Amino acid sequence: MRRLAAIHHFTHPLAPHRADCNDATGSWQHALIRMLWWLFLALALAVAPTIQGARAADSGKTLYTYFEAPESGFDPARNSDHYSGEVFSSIFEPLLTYDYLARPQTLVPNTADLPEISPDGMTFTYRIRPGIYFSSDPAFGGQRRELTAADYVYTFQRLVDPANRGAPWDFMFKGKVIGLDEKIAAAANGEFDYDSPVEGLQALDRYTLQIRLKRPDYNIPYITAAPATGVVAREVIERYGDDIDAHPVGTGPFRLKTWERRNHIVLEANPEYRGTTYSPVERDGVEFDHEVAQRLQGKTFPRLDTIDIRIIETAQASWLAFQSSQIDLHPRLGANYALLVAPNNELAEKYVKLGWHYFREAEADITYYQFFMDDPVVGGYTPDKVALRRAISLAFNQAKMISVVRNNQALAAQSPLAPQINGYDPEFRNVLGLYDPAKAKAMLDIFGYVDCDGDGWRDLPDCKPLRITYLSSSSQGGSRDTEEMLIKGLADIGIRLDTDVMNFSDFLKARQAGKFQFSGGAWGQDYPDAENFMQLLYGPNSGVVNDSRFRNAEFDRLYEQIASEPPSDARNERLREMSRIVNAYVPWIVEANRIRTHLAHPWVVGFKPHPDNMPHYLYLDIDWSQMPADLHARRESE
Amino acid sequence: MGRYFIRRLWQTIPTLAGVILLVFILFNLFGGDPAAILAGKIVSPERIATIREQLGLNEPLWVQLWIFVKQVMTFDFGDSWSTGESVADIISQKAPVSLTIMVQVWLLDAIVSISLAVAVAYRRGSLTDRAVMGICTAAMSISLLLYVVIGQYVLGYTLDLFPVLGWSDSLWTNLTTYAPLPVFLLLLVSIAPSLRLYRTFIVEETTHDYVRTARAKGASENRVMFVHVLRNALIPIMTNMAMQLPGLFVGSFVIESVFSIPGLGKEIVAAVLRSDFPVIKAITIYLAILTMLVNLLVDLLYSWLDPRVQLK
Repeated sequence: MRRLAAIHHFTHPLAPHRADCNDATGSWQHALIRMLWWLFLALALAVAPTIQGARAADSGKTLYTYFEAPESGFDPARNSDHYSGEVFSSIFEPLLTYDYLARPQTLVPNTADLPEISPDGMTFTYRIRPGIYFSSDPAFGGQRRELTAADYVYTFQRLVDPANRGAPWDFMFKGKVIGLDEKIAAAANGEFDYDSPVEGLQALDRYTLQIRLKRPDYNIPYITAAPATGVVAREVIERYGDDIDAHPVGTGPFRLKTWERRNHIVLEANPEYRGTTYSPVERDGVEFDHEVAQRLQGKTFPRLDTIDIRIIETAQASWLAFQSSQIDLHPRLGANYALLVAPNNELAEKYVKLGWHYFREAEADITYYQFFMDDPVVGGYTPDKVALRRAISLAFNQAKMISVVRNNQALAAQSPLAPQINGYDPEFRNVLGLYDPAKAKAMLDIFGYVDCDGDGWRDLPDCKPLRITYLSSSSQGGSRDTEEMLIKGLADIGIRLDTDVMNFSDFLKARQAGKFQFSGGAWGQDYPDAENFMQLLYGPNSGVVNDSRFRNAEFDRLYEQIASEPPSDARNERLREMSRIVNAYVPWIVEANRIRTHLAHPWVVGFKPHPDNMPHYLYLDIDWSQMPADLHARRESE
Repeated sequence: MGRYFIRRLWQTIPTLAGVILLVFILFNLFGGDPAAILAGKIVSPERIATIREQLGLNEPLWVQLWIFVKQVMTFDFGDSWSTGESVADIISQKAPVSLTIMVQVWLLDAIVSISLAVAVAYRRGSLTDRAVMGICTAAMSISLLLYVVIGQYVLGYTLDLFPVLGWSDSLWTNLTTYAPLPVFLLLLVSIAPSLRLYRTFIVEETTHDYVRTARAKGASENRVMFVHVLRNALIPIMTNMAMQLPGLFVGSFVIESVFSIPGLGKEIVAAVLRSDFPVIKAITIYLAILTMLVNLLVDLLYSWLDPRVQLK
């Protein structure tokens, strides 16, 4: 008889075991079969929930595409991740939108005409087009539900309601609209009151919306074109409550058909959608892709019945899925594959023969390295501190970083601004930041950053050790090579750089709390104007979006000016001056404006990547005649 | 038996309390702040404070711990902090997907490994034995990631034997179309260590006196191997297989990521990256309970396989 201790002795698979007789059991084979049978039965029960009926076949056109990261949910007020935005941008409609093909980005009417703007830039009046309806939903009680100005009043208030997961989009209206901040403050002690009027946000009549601001802001039209400002219906929000992420009901061209979270999203054409045609905007200085425009000419959109989106998180998988035509469209090809497809930034011959469409576009974003300006070592505004940061900037080999780390899939950034936005000057050059380690060393020598103790590393002018720590996140893919290049660059001029790697949330908090010396950063446009980028260095924004806590009176004065004036040559000159201040004081070392490669199969019609980074499924179509017959047959049988 | 069973169940309570405490401490020390991630692009202190308030993270730690205990007692872990989805829904939808892959791997691994282990153990020391062991060592030295990346490219894309990725609503389609390649690749990785281990168990059995006695009594080699040796070797083999059971539910993150399979493995990694504590809590507790139940099952299995083992 064995005790329990002996039984536990056997639980380890590598534990020695003894059995010196073999006739103690009877028909053990039968017992084993019985056990296997029960095992199979249990397994069948375990997997039973996955058994569902086969999906009904579609009869129309379906576009298969993918996201490289999972979505969160489809309530615009609660979700700020990019991929959720790609979906809800096709479901919900903002007041305005961007012309699909016009470059630079150009606003055009959507549910409303372009707004009337008062001469002081503080009042914006939108006329909403009658006869626009939400897609049908039980929340509407079987009635067609027309879009009204009151819906936008409700929608914009939701964006600042802290109950919506902290209101990630509140910066669009908070601090700007008369009377809105008081409502937000009141909500801190209770529920947000949607029914009391807001002085600066009113539906003047059924179809007229007026926004009144505390100070001039000519970016309001851009803000009212952001997907997050897409209109929702109050009845729907109240009906579905916390489950609203799964019930997006909008006026846009598509509606949600099925959603397997973080795996598979299917959109279908919204039968209530009014339909639209494309005609390129004609304005001075605006260009558009004539070839794509020609293909869109005379068609009513949407043309697609269904958009089938898979979440494919590995670059090889999405690349192979595209090659094997499992997906029709490959937005944002990884940098390694971009080199493979287009070794010299031109589509390789074998892919040209396949008829692939190739797009290589600079995104409206910037990557940079930032110093914490309140740090006693790397921060500060005295000449020796500025010299230290400038020396580090001179030791940063921007060209090599772009060629080695970014595989030449980026432009060398010259200012805090991104391409494709108002105020960006492609001719502007950061003359103070050219890679020159000899000059960096000389500058450090002049300001007393020399090796006092003979350990091979430079010290501070008072001979205290000079050590700088670079803060990074463990979840930032590919940051190791960046860190190595920074370490080597600084080592070349005698400065020791350490790294501190932490999880993403701690990284965000440390940056926001000012617990870092040197760190990386990136910013993509919320709206295509320089103000959206320059706010990151505006003094009063320290600790909010200004993580480096750069404070410069002249920069702040210029920011306040450009934030309240419309685009003009004089404004552009002010923006250049702001860039010069940044490059001189070096709170940031600007790194790159990323370039993305996008691919489409020959049967995808009308694709053109847009700087707003949204998919614009509305204008896409499938040309069956360009699709191989076997693939067409397979698609039709699905 | 009944008293033993009740006593073992009773012992799960302090074990579970330990797991709860450990998970809670680890999350609060190293888990990161989910509010910083949920805050979006502009991570202001006010926004973080608001979100922390909504998530209940500003409550005293003992209150948060008590909430955790209540969740374990009611098996209601609430909603995911990052997606708002019910944690129960996440597990009930994703675990069967992981099982669809992992159960096949588990069964096939056992069948192939045990069969080969018997064969090579029978020819212990022969060229075949040494060759198989050498291949196993080599196979174990290669990362799963490499198998998966090459397998997807060669078998999925170049040879077009399988779809390169995908998953369906239909169990049959998954079993016949999307699962075979991931299952095959996981088998390539899992068979080698299992085979080596099971061979060791069987070889050890063949050295015992009862085997010599059986042979001396004229038993055929097949009877010696399959009736006497294998039966006794089954105890550690079953132990090993049973201990793998909890892992079947959590799937394989690498396989699920590369083949876009919506299983629990990906969910767990995403939850950790997002500091999504409700999901982490639920999965950890379910796994702890499952592990304890499997341990109990293994102990019961011993007494069934070997009547000399008595449970007290």
